[in-house]
Amino acid sequence: MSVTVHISAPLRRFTSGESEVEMTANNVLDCIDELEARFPGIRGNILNEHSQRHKFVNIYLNGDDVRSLQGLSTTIRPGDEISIVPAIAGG
Amino acid sequence: MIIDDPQSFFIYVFHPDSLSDSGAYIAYQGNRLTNKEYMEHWGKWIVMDERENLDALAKKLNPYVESRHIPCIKYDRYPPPMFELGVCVMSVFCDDRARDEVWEILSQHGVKMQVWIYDKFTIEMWQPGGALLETWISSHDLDEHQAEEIRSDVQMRMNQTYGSEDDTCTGWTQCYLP
Repeated sequence: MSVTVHISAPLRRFTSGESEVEMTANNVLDCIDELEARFPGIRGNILNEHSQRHKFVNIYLNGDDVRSLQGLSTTIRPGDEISIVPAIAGG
Repeated sequence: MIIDDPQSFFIYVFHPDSLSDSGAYIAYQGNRLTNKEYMEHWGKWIVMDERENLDALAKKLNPYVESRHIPCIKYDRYPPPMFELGVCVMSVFCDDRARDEVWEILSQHGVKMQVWIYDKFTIEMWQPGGALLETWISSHDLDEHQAEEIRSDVQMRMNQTYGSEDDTCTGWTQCYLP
């Protein structure tokens, strides 16, 4: 399923500066794994070795924090938008 | 109106009527929120970008603040050094019952990344032990006694500001320097 992933500035060093990436995935974790396949090294800046979100990173699906949904297993649908941003944003 | 005081880390966009009454912008459909309602409903859309792009966006959004379609906006004067973001952050505040309307305005003006943060989550991060406060303390090279004083002061101000659920929310008094 094709979704758009918005990459915030601090992570763009892994994506050669790209701020938006189109990809296919079934859930949020799949999406991050797909990101890693295309941009090696990015996963470790989003998730720890136990595949849990770093406390300084937030992930949003269509604007909502995935923690308020089903976390990394939240299902994504065609046309959805995922944003990965530092947790400090908006303090 | 855009309030750009060089002594302030934040640049604000307020309705002129909000200036004389602390927290007056924390309202929904003309009614000010209680602290309980604030914790349940108040939040912001986040825009991360270079300062000049946020300046341009603020000018475009100012009419919506003047017409009360957007309650309040604030953004960083420069990227906050302690967080190593590399960009400035703009918070476009509103009640979650109006957030779709506000998002529509933002998207019409080119905002693409859709990030909504409830203020209660930000407040949690600024409490003792929270990621933001502890990062701020670490970045200011304080000894443990000073750090504890800061934590204690923050906790006291949090309780004073938000402790009574039924009181009208006046919002957090903003610091002038990071």
